[in-house]
Amino acid sequence: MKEVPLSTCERTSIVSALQAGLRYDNREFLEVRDITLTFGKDYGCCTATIGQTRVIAQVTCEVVEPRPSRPNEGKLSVAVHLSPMAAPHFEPGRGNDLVDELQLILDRNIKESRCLDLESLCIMADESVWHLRVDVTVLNHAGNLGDACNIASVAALRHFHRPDVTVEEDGRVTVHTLEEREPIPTFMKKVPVCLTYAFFIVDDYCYMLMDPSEKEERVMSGKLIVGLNPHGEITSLVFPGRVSLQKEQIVSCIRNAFSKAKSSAEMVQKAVDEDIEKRKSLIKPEGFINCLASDARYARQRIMRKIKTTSKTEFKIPQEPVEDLQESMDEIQIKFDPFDSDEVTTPMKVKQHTAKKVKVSKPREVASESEEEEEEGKLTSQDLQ
Amino acid sequence: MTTMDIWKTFEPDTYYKSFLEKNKRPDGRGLMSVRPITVKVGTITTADGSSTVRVGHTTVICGIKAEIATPVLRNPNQGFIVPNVELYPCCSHMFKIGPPGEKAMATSQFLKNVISSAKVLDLTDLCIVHNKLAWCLYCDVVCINYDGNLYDAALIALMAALQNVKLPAVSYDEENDKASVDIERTLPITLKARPVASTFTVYSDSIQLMDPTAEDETQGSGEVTVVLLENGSLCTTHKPGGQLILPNILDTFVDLAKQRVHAVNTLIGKEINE
Amino acid sequence: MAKHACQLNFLSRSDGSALYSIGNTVALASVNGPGEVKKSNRHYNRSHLEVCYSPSTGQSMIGERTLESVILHTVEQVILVHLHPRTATNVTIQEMQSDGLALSTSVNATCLALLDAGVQMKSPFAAVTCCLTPSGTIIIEPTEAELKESEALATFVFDGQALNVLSAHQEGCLDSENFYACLRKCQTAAKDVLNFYRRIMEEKYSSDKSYN
Repeated sequence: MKEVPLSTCERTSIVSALQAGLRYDNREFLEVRDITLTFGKDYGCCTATIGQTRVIAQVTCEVVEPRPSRPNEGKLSVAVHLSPMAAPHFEPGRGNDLVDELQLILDRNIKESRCLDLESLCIMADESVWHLRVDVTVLNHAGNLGDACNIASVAALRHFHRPDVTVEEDGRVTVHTLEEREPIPTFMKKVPVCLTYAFFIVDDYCYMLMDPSEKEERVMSGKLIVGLNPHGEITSLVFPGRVSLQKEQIVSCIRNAFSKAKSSAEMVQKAVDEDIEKRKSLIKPEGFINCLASDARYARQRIMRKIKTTSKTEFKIPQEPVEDLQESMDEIQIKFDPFDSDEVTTPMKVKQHTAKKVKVSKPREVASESEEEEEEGKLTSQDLQ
Repeated sequence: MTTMDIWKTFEPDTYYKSFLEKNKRPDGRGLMSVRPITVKVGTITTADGSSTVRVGHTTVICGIKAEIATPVLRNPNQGFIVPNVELYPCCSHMFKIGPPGEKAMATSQFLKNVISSAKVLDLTDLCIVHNKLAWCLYCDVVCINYDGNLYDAALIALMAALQNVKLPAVSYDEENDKASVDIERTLPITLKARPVASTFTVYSDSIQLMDPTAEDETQGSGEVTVVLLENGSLCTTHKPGGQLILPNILDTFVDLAKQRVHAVNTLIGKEINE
Repeated sequence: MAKHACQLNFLSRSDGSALYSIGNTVALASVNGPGEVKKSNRHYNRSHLEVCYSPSTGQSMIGERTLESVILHTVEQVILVHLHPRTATNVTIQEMQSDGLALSTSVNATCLALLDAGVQMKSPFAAVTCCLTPSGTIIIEPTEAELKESEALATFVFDGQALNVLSAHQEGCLDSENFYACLRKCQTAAKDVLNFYRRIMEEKYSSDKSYN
């Protein structure tokens, strides 16, 4: 099935809402949706939700021969799957740009950042090592898959316990079942965190949003995905999209990311530790049976919470009268096209915003590199295609 | 073109139905009669075991190639048997070129299921040296002409070919870790069970057809396959969706299948002994 | 019987979805359609049905493809495909947690997802798995550990009207006496499953939904 196209009305409505300092789901610009982590019956199985985005990650292990170039290191691989379950327009078994992008993010963030001590996965140098495989499947695509996939796979890896082994004299490896011997937890040195920032360039102003929803992702001009860990290291920067930003903006993004990284990492650690603690006391873990909340329930909860908070405090009314907004929207439909032309006649006045606003240069012609890992004077890039 | 051909081309449904009303099928068979089966073994000289089977017009060739492999860690004293079914476009217009389709995969899985649940082979018999060497039997079943009832034909071909397999003797030198194969001395493998499949097509609540042709399969809705052993126990029932059936109809299927088991196994036995 | 649990409307992007669990086996099914169809799959007289089963680890192999084909033929028989010519209906099933009952859990999840999506069907359908222990007792909805011990395993899918057999799948040897005993036991169990469906659907359409 084809993807339902986004109408001009919807586009302009999202943009004008941003200009009024509002988001569709009533969040602040730099507010992240609720994150929940749920663990399955087995070790290394975890579902993560960010709002209505839902991802499941499963870690499996097997004994393999090591690479000749690194005889004493285990292997780690990550695979992302998108099925028609995530959104109707995905086709089973066929890759697309989104899968490639997610694969790239996870490879850099988890595999290449060396967050896992691969040497601890060695059983016998040159002979046998553990190969950990993380399968990440997207169940529901409601925006910001990068962060969701990252959280799910990090939590699953931290949660994973590999079976104990004994090496016999003739070099044979016996793998003990979980009942026979206590399994060994994986050791993660640093917890990788991934944060996505979306940029909307409207009339020379750049609106910066965190954790874009699916609709916002389809409208935005570009995004910056920062992979980092709370120890102050950046592991990856992915910057696709038709947008050019000033150096300061990138730096401010990264600074903001570092301020959030610690709490995010701690959240994951806490959730994992709590679940493992629970496993020790309980006889049998129940897994997913009763603890997964459906998207419909999440939506209902949000509404209920909203009703509760608004009954206490006064509801914030946008400063613009409604008819005015309607008028300006009519104008936008004709003239507003910030993504293609350089010179946009501005039908709207700049309004007072509650959120942060950064000055930006005019959207430039697209540069040739697709991603840039260094911070130069100006970062430019192109759509990942 | 005769009038009958024209009728068949333009109104296949009523054409077919008119036969069923007379309790006959277009090829002249009754509803519960089967097509003649011919079995030939050793038809491929380069394979370790082979057979060609015809069930009516459906023709299937099975070739078994034995290779020496290392057993997996979990089962260090077991060999392998890997059935695989190929359906090429040459056998019917239903099949397209490219990776194996749904039917081929379902048949492969069916054969695998039958081998494991009937315990046709003791996999430890295929082990040569514990944890070092074991036989791996690749059983390739290729359909040359498809006219329905692939499950039955494929299983007959596989069983006949397995009884035809002659494995060369292997001697293992422990000191320098070398195995040598003696092609002159060959041994057959012992089969623990000889299952036979019987497929029925369900046309309606009251009409079922045994041993369906391709036409029967397209006209009917859904097949039921029952696999029986010589002692009459049910080894696999396979009914992937299709028309609903009442449990007592299954009873008649099993009774009919019992007769077929004996007939097919004597046929294979006769051919092997020749 | 093992405990059944279900949550409808689990995913926001699908037309209908259901998270279904039998014992410790959990499967998530989503249904999209009837919707737009590729030209090569377009049928003039019926809706094109596609079933995709993805395991929790790795790519789908031959075992999963067989599971897909069983579910596809089961669903094809039940839903009124002729009502929506030139369309496609997609069913996607995700294995969430495995404990031996993958087939029956996926079939039941599919049925409830179809009901949730409002796809027209002749009748609901319910799958029940049972196994025969070496001592000759029949266990309905066994755990994986019990399956490993057992001699044979059979799964039946029944329709919701007369409890006739829609699909059957069997592994391991059963003599005909045991086979019918299994069939009858599963048939009685299927009634409970169908009653469970009814309760879930009544809950969905009842007005006094508890918001928690």
